[in-house]
Amino acid sequence: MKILIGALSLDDITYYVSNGADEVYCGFTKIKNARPDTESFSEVSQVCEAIDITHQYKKKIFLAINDTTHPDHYHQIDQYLAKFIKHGLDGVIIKDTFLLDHFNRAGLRTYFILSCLAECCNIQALDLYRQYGIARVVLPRHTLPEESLEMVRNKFNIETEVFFPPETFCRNTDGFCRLHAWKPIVSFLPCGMKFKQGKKDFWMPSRPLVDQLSNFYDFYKLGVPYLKIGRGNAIRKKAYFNQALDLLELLGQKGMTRQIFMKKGLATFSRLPEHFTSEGVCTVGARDVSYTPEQIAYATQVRGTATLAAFNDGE
Amino acid sequence: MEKALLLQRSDILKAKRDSLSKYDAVYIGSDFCPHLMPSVKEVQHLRKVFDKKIVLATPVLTTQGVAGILRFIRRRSIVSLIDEMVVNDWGLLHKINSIKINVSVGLLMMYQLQRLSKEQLSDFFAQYRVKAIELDEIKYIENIPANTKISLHYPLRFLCFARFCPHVKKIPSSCRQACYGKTIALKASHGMGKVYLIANAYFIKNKERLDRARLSRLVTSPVV
Repeated sequence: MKILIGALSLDDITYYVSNGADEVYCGFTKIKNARPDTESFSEVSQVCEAIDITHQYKKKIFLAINDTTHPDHYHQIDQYLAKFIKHGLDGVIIKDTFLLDHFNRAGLRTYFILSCLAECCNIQALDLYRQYGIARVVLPRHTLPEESLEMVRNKFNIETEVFFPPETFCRNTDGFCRLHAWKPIVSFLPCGMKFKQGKKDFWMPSRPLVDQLSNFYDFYKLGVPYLKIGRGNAIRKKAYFNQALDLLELLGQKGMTRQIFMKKGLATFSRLPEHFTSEGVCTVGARDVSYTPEQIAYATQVRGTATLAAFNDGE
Repeated sequence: MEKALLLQRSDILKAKRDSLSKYDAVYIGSDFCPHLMPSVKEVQHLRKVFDKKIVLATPVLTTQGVAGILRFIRRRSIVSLIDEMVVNDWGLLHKINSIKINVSVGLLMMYQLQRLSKEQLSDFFAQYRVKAIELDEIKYIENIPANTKISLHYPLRFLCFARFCPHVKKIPSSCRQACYGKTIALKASHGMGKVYLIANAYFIKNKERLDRARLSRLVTSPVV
């Protein structure tokens, strides 16, 4: 299984490709993607340099354009993409069927990875996307291994990719989640917010890590060729990356059973950075630099005392 | 403008002719949960007590789920009873073309299409023989092609939904109906208002002013 990881900076890219990542991806602020601008490169020269660094290590690099786009912006996207592809960009991560259709009509050819945000949950949908020239599909985060057999072993030669276990499950189905637009003040991870149900506390439940790790074992055994680690807090992502390398090494060992993998795999989570365990699922860190201090303070207050342990227990 | 009722699965068999008589259409099924698809018996009961439009809403589906819905809708005993089908899944939309049924694009799929131009939407609807769409936000109405019927779900507006069932705290392979008959009001802190958990989906109340001019149908839910 190869690792694809999101990078926020050129330093990230150098670190990942020189330490075992097979592929990296990044965003570019002038083409809409699913992350805030602070998690994307802002200059053409930065993307080109990222391509050069990645290729020096003979690895691949993709650009995330995984948001829906109004056709008024197609021309601008075409121009930037043509520039990056000419420079050696290996492909794009895309969500919007209509943008894909536009690329097909415009003759823009590259390696298209269908984002999990497209929510392509079944072989019938994959058959539809095949017609748009998809080469790889990221299985939606909530897809279970037993539901994915036809997609993973599809006859269309479309490759598959799954998310790294701690990131596998959003609390809600992320491709359709409107929570971020609900109240601007809690615009990052509002799903982690505490509610009151009468006098009781209520948290939108999340899937226990142990189940996600077990699914990862199954996806590996099914033969899913790519593992994805998303963008975000640089410290945490590097910890995930190293953990992913360890988990894949474990899975590659002869005679590795689910039981042993689960035991050893869960132990690797104790090595995650201190801020992750003490501050909760996602509180203060590099990821939050796009938000004002008021928003960070507010969200920390609203989220209360959520801890990693609580997160893993489904709160 | 038609009046429609969103009927919970738990209420289908209890439905009576008198209570439905004021509606022009009744929605069954779910945009969010595959376990809330009605049985043959439930559809047949509803048809007995309601002689106007029955609309079947369908959620995002697994491979087996799409195959199951197609089998269900192709049954001779069902296809003649259902007047419209709400589709949220790309795979189902891709395959439903072979069945003669009126298709409406559901809330979830419309959420994915919301940034498209009117021309793109028009082409897309023509390609898939879509005659109607479901919306729960009035602000998107102006972008909808004039020849497309709009069914507005009001006053609840969908926020998010989970496959990891909030009631049983797992992804159930079969359903024990733990959500049946429940609407859970959740109070968000800091004056952010109430969120309603119905089955596996969270909603808020839509405070937009209702503009009926472009609406073909108003879909209401009796639960809040």
